[in-house]
Amino acid sequence: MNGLRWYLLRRLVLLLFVTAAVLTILFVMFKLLPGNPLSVFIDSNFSEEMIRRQKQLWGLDAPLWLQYVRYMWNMLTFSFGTSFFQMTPVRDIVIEKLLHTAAMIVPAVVLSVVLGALLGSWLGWRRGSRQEGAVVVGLLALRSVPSFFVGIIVLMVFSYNLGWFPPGGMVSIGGQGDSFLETILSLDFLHHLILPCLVLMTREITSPALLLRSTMLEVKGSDFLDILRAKGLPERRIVMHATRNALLPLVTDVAVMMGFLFQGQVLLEIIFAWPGVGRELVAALNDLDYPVAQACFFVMALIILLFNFVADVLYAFIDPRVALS
Amino acid sequence: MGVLELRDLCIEYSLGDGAALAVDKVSLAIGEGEYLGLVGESGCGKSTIAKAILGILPRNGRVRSGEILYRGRDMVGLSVAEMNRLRWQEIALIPQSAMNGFDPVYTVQQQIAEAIDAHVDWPATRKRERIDEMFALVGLERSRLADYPHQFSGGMRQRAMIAMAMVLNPDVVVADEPTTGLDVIVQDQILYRIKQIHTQLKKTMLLITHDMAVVAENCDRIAVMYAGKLVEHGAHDVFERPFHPYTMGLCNAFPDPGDESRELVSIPGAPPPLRAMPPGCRFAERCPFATDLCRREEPALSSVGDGHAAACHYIARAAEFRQRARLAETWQAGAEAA
Repeated sequence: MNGLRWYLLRRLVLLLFVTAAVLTILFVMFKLLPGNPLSVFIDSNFSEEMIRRQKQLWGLDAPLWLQYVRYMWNMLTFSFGTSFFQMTPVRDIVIEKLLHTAAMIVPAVVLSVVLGALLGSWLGWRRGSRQEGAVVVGLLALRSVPSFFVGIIVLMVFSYNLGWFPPGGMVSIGGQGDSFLETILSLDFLHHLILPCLVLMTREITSPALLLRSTMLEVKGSDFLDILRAKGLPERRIVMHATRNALLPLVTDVAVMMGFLFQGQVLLEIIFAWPGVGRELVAALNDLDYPVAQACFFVMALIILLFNFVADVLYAFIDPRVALS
Repeated sequence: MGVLELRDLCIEYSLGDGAALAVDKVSLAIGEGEYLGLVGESGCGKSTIAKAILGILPRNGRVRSGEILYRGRDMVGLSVAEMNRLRWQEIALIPQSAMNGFDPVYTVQQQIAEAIDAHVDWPATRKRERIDEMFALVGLERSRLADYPHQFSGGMRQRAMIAMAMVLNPDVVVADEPTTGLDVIVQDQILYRIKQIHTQLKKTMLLITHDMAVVAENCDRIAVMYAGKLVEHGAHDVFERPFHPYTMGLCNAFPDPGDESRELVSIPGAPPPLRAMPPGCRFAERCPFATDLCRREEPALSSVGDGHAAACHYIARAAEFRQRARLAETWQAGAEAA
């Protein structure tokens, strides 16, 4: 168990280190960004004195190292400041948008993983058959098509032509519930969710399906399955052993998938006018809303890192070989 | 009657476009408390027999005809549930690949306990005691019980495998090349453990190996297989007075600690492919003594002594063959003539 503790500690230190690195890169990136972060507040008629006072107000007159230290401290304590335009704390905006994004991603990932895993084990089972070949080719094709393309086609057909689904948004106008929970439990939300969720799934289902197909094939050839049979174990116990072994790589895959989805679906959020964190980031960049853009960047990076960390930790728990090597 | 008996056993593997007969009409009996060694080259069907006995042939393999009798009861065609009652409790397996014989994500203890749970309903303390006892039997420390298989060395894993095989006190133990992939010293230790189980616990054992020396050292009786056929079987007599040229070849291919002057002879060539078996004797192609008769007609097993039988047309000339088979030239010449 000592090995496991060390492993976790090492992972945790690595997580902190990488987070600091990401923050530093972000700091440099925003410094290099063309334009003045205060252009929103500084009118061309401002006098030198007024400009200086504005800079002082935002702390931009401090030496660079001090700005960096303050920035790091604020980011790490999640004090993101106030939005230039919405005049609300950035933290509230980011949390709200993250929840919206999660409301689309979580159901899509859960469905993709369950269906993909089932499909994958079926493919592993039917290995070499004509159906298997066809499905694998289909999956590879789905994987290669950009989701914004699929998104536009789907919108065109099911929304504009057939009119079965709303063209975008998370709820109808005025359909917002009193709380986030109330919103996502409404039928109206479900109606809005189906199209983007399906588009997301067409892509996300391919990874668990292809992964499970290959791990299932690998596990099926394992000698230990023969021994389990020879031990006289009932079939379901044997299947349990096989599945547990085949699922190992999937756990990591799912965690990593979740992380990347939070940032990878910016385009999808724009196409479906989904008020998520990706769309917020793009809007903030367009409006030069520095605090919001910074926070969105940071939170998305942090989510990827956290899910990677979770993947590592989970893997150590389900595969005892990892923690010790 | 034997504890375990094979009668005219034929096992085939279906391949994409046909079937290959891996075991062809093998009849063999293992008596109560006997230690039988089954030898042959890779691919001769010996491991297939082990798998068939435990009913774990791969998906494309099946017993085409014949019987596998355990205490007079045919196990071929038993339902999975009926088979599961016999497995491990009556017949246990020490597999070829202890390396991969354990599921990597469960501890050794869990996997041994699982074998117990599948058959008997013991309270936890009794299970624990029994597993401890088995670990002591094979010389493993109790503190290693909660370890995962990858934390064991190859030899330890194989010993844990033996512990697992013995945990339900089975009547018959099938050891399928139990020392593959282990270094020589560990091989010796493992074989010693297995021998100990045979002598102390009076188990009926079937040892499958390609190593004549191992059989000579450990087993009461020997059966030699070649290309899916049983070519010779008998007691220790088989080593001293082999009647089948293949057995002679095998005996000369392994060093004899008692006679260091003897030169080691190898048998040139390879067994015929399973899917293109020649008519006549299957060894004819590599046999330096083969005649037209051998290539035309298949020899039947015939008795050459007390419980000793060989399948060769020329058992009458065995004494002469034995002399010639000691010389490498004989085999070399045979290979060139072919």
